[in-house]
Amino acid sequence: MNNLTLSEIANLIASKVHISNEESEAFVNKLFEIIFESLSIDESIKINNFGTFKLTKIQLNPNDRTYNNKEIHSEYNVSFISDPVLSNLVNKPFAQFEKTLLAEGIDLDLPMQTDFERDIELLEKEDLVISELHKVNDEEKAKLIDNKILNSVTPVKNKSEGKSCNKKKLPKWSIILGAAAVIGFFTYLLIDDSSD
Amino acid sequence: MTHEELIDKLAERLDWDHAKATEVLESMVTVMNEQLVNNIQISIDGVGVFETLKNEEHISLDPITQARYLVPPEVVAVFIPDIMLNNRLVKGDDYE
Repeated sequence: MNNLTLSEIANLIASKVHISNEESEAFVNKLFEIIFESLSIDESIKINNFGTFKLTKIQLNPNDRTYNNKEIHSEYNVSFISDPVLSNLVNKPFAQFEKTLLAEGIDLDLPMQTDFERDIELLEKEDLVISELHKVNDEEKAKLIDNKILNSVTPVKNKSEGKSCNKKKLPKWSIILGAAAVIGFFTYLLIDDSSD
Repeated sequence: MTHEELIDKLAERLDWDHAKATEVLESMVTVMNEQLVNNIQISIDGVGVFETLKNEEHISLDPITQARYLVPPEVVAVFIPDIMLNNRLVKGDDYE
């Protein structure tokens, strides 16, 4: 998936409405500044044909599999509800399909999920994206470390990353010991063969 | 805050007229929508990431009636807020 940054978006806007890059960059910065200010006073912001930003309270549940991940986002989270115009645009390739009732006896090789399981899967997807975002923003991470914020934060885990992160490196002494055992074994075999 | 109020505030802060702010905001929405339709991620430092996620085709089970539904694939636009944004909102740091 390609990635666009704020300055690239500003350039695209500038080319579309014939304003300077500086002006469009200032516009985008001001827009997100206003969004931030409104969210900080718990006010939602609606942008026509795009969506609505609002602050939602997260229900923290210690039994939830994603509980540890949610801790780092505090108990409030910024949510975005896409406008029907945007939803229809992105879902255009599948717009002609509809949810259909399956008759008894029809078995399809597809995963079966309740709505609750679907929600859990979506949450996990979001967490995966968040952890990837953290990998990208190394500079921001460095700032966080400087501010000692990360000390109080639980590291993000996900299916793909968790495995590699949890791998423990073998200590040097065990490698040396292993190599010595192998050499010893072959030496024993050589001595054994020569004595025969 | 409504769309109109947002435009008024933008126009006031940038010292632009209402029409110019409306035009630029509309073109920004168009640009961002075009990028999302083309499955291009938009990442804004300190704010978050706008992107599309595909929900695969699956069978949905109604827990009460036990009826099974074939749910078609669906592409949705999502926003993943940056951890810095949440920290700023909770801790009250200034927007940079």
